[in-house]
Amino acid sequence: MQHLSPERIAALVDEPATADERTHFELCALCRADFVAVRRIVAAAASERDRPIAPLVPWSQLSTALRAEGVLTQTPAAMVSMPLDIRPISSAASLMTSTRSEMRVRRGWQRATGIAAAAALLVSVGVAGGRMTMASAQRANTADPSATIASVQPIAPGMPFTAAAQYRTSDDARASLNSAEEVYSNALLWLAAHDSALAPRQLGGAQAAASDYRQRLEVLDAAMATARRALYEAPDDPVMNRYYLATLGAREVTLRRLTTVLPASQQVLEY
Amino acid sequence: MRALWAEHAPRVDAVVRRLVHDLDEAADIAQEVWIQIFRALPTFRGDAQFSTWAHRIAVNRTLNALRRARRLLGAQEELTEETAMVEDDVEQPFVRESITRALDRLPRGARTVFVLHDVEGYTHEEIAGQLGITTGGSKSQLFKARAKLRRLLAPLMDHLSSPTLEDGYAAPVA
Repeated sequence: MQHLSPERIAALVDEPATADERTHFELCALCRADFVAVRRIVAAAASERDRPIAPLVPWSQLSTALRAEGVLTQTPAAMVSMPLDIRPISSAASLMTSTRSEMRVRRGWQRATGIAAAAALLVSVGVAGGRMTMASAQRANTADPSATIASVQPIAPGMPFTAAAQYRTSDDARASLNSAEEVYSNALLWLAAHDSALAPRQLGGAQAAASDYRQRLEVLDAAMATARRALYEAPDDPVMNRYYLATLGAREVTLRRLTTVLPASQQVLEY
Repeated sequence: MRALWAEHAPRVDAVVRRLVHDLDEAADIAQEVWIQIFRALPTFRGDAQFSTWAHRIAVNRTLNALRRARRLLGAQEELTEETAMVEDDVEQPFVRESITRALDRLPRGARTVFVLHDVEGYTHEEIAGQLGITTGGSKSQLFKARAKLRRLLAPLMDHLSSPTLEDGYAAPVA
């Protein structure tokens, strides 16, 4: 008995079988199993369409490119309120003079620059944010615009905040907070990708590295499960949405790192 | 703009990611896609949903980028015939995840046609128009892609419940 070719079986998901092929399916469990498997793959692929992923490009990078292209003209409030010495990505003015091809070449550099600055901002925002006084928070909520300037004072000598960050309105503060969250997500993703702190390969070889990555995946899965539960309760909560997407991105990066330390004969196709 | 991006990027970027194997390349193309979306925003007339409109731009722009890089439908790369590594407790939801990973091991042309047809829902005529190939060529690439995915995912698919007579061949719905 001659079996149907794999390509023909794959085609029969969309196309009607001939009488001979129908007869063959009735007699051949192997071809029938192949057909069912291909049909499952096609059904699973169709359900893939609505599955979201973490954005591939952070808004900070995209908005810089949009300004360079002249599509976005306004200067974001977050950039205004940010001290000059920790502005994460090269200024829009300098990029405006770049040609499109130069932009493309410089993207990798911009990412690296942004990432390096991200870590500084992450620390400074985290620490300074923790020291924001209740009085300033209350001032930010008052109705009088002249009274809504909240100041974040430097908390220790040598900290990146050399000048007080000024917020004119609650929207300004929110924009700054959004920017900080984005920078935080970027820094997380970078750490997941580069692993500079752990350097697992150097410490314990590929096997230990794989173990570390699997452990991290478990933690990320647990974090995602928590975030999913929270999103179920509050699907529109922007903070939880960002948290979930950032975790999802970190998970993908970790999964990819895991594949780099596995022996060549192995490949992770699911986890 | 940011709100629009935040709402739609998870799905628009997903289209790009499915079509482009390399993550860095996908990020560059996603950036181009969003620049084009925002540049074309004044022309959006609301005939279709924004998500549908943005989705089309994402597909077109990604295919253009791939074509520009002369990678689309290029030399058929050698397909590794290794099978997927699966855990013992595989459940149906993981099939989808496994397919995503297995896609990375298809030749570019087959991957593109499979994603456009079986994931994005394009017809063979639309794919042929987009890629500059015949509808027969599109079908051929699709069936090869499905067959190779079946081979790559054999341990996973066979691990799932064995087909019964009821699961046997059924004519496709027209």
